[in-house]
Amino acid sequence: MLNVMIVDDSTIIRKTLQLKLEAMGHNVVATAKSGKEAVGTYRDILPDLVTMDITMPIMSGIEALKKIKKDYKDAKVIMVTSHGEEKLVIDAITSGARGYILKPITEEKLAEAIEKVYPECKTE
Amino acid sequence: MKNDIKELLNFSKTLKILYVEDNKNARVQTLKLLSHFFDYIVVEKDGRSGLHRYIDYHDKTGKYYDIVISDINMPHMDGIEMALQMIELNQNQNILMISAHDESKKLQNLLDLGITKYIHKPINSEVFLKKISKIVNLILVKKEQENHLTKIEKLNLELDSLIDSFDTYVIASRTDLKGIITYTSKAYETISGYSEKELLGKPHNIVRHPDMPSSAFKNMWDTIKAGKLWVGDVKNRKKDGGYYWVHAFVAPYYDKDRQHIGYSAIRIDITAQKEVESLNYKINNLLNNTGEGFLSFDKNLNCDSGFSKECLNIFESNNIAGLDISGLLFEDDLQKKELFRYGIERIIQSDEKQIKEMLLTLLPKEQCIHGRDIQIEYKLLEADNFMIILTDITKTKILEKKIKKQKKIQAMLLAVAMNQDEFIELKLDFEDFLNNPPPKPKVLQRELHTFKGIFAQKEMFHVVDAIHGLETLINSSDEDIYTLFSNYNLQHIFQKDLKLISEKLGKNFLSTKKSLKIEDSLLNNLEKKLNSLYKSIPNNDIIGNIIDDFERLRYQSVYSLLAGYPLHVKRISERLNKNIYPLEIVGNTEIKVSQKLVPFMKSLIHLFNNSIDHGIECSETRIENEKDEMGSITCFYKKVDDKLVLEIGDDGVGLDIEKIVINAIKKGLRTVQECEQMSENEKLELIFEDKLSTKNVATLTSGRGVGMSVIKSEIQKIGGTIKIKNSINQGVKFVFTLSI
Repeated sequence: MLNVMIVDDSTIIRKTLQLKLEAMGHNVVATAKSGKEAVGTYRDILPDLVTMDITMPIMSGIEALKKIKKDYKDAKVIMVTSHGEEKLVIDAITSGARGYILKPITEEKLAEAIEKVYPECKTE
Repeated sequence: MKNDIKELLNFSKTLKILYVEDNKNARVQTLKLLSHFFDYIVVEKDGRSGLHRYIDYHDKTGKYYDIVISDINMPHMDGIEMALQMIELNQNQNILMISAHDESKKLQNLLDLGITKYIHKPINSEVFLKKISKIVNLILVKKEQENHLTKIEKLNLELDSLIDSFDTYVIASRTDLKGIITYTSKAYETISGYSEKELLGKPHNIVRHPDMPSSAFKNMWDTIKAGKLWVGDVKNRKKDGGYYWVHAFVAPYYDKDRQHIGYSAIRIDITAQKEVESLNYKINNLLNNTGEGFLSFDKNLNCDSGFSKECLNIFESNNIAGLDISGLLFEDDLQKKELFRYGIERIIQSDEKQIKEMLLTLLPKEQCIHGRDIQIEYKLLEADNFMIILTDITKTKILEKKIKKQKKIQAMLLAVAMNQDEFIELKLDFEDFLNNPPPKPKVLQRELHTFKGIFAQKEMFHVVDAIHGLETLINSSDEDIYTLFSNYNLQHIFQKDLKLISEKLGKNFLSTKKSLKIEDSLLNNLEKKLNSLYKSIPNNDIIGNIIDDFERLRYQSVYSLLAGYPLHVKRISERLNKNIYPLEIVGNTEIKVSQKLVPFMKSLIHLFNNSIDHGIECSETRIENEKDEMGSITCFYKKVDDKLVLEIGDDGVGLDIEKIVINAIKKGLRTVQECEQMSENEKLELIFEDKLSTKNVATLTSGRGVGMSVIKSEIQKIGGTIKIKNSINQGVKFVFTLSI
């Protein structure tokens, strides 16, 4: 079981991610609606895993990723993206993101991405 | 002794001579003789000045005179003393002493040193020349020896560097008889990744790769143990887990005494060659077995000369070697081309394999190239070269479309099969409608719209699309509606869906229920008979109860009548991109109503469509208005006395009264004066009038202003009432009160 922080400006996506992550046995310890909020909350909570939307108001997911990575080298961040954002995902990965999920979000995609970061989280 | 006098003379001309003699006559005579031999002669007149000259010459040139010729008996310092001091400075000094007969004892000291020649006075020129020749020859031989020595030294140096380069470039090692490593070259350390320290004393199988079969090594040991040379290719394991291929020569190793003390091996690195071989194998394999396009390109995006023939077909080219792969793949698609180039660049810049692999997955995976759908797979090769596998998936795509259609059909079959009775009824109704269209154009249009809604609920996409097409045609064409209707041939399209249904669900699915219809009429007959019986025998409880039972047989639960809507709402909201919570039907499942209510229940589809399409705002607007991002539609019913109260509402924008009124006036349904006198509820009820829609653009689901009027006409048939509770931006609720 991992302590997960969800970062997304859309309520629906946050809800969807939370339901699916909890169904998979993980613990959603925090949610954030913007990159800026995410950076602050990360410091307070230090979650095992972050799911990070790319396009968000106030501070983009990539900027937030870079800020978090700067202070916490080992931070494990998975980007949540849509078709057409491939270039941004490339930037995110070269900036230290540990994986990505392409919407629509499914439990299988989540499990696969999490397993790459935490190989012990293998779901049968 | 050199016989070649000429050579000797030539050589002697290069020699430097110091001649010391105090007697003038002797000097002149001897110099005459010497001048035949030597070009360079320095003369001094006594031992002391001779020695000074000797030292001075050395100080100036760093060399000594090649030959010193000296008299013995001289003033200041005699020849012997001078010679001794010279020898002290230069052990190898060649000295020729000219002595008188009585001076032989003095000479002895010099002769004991074994380096000095002498000649007796008076000088016999022949003997003198012989002696001189001897000395010159000695010097010559010595010089030649020295030259030879420097050559050898040079050779040795070269050999040393050769040995160094051997160490650097030849992968060499030795082991003892048990295979324990006793020597490794630098090259061996470099290729294996181990240091000398880590290797010495370890068994040689430290570099054994699991891919090598043990039989290969058995063969090698058998060969070398038998004292023979073993030659073969070996795959070895690096310290970091990688591998390298070598062409190895392994032989027994003997020491100086011909004792067999171990084995030595030298190897040539053939990793690259093996890789090429395996690549060639792969290429050939691909060429032979699949029609896939296979190519590799370097970090400058230039295609390699090795590619499969299929590439030429895909790119419609004669040769692609050296061409820019991004141009070949994404000729017209600038966006994908840029993504591809950007991705490749980042992959090359990255050092971590894991990141490289992840970035590969973000490159474009499909592209239409010269009219064919091509799937693109990427593989990373050594040294930032890339491999691409191109597969023509045009057929697969067509198949995918077929599968999608198949899924649609399945959804239709499911919806149809779930309520067989209802479908049979619908089929008969629609067939009747097609054969005997209503005589009034307005009614025709309204009924057509109702059928569209019902067929949409049944997922009968062919018919839905067709009716939508016909509706658009009617609204945009000036032609007579009945001409359009009969030319459109809905019958044919409907038959297509029916054919599918009977194929998949069995021919009996459509036909068996016809007999049920007969049963239904039988039931009607029975009911009629019972009714007349009841009239002839009034107040007969038994007959009265039987009549009630009969009616109840036909009753249906409200819940089951509404059961199709949650799915419908979900589907329509998805289609219209609205985020709406799942619709829940709330009410007692036991409550049953008469069959008379069925058409009304069916007409409610328009109400739900309107809520989704016109009522619920898109998420962005809802957030702006500080509402829940997701909209809700509610459906609630209860029994109040002998009435059914049904409430259907949403939390959307609510009805825009002004717009409704303006539309009604525009369409000529009411005059301005009429509207001014109407109550709010009356104004709201205008939405149930024909041809009225607050939405200006028609969509597949709603917006033609026909749907709501259907509800009104159905409710009028069964004698119910409608109440509208409207509040701007909070939503709208319709309350229907109906007799059960």
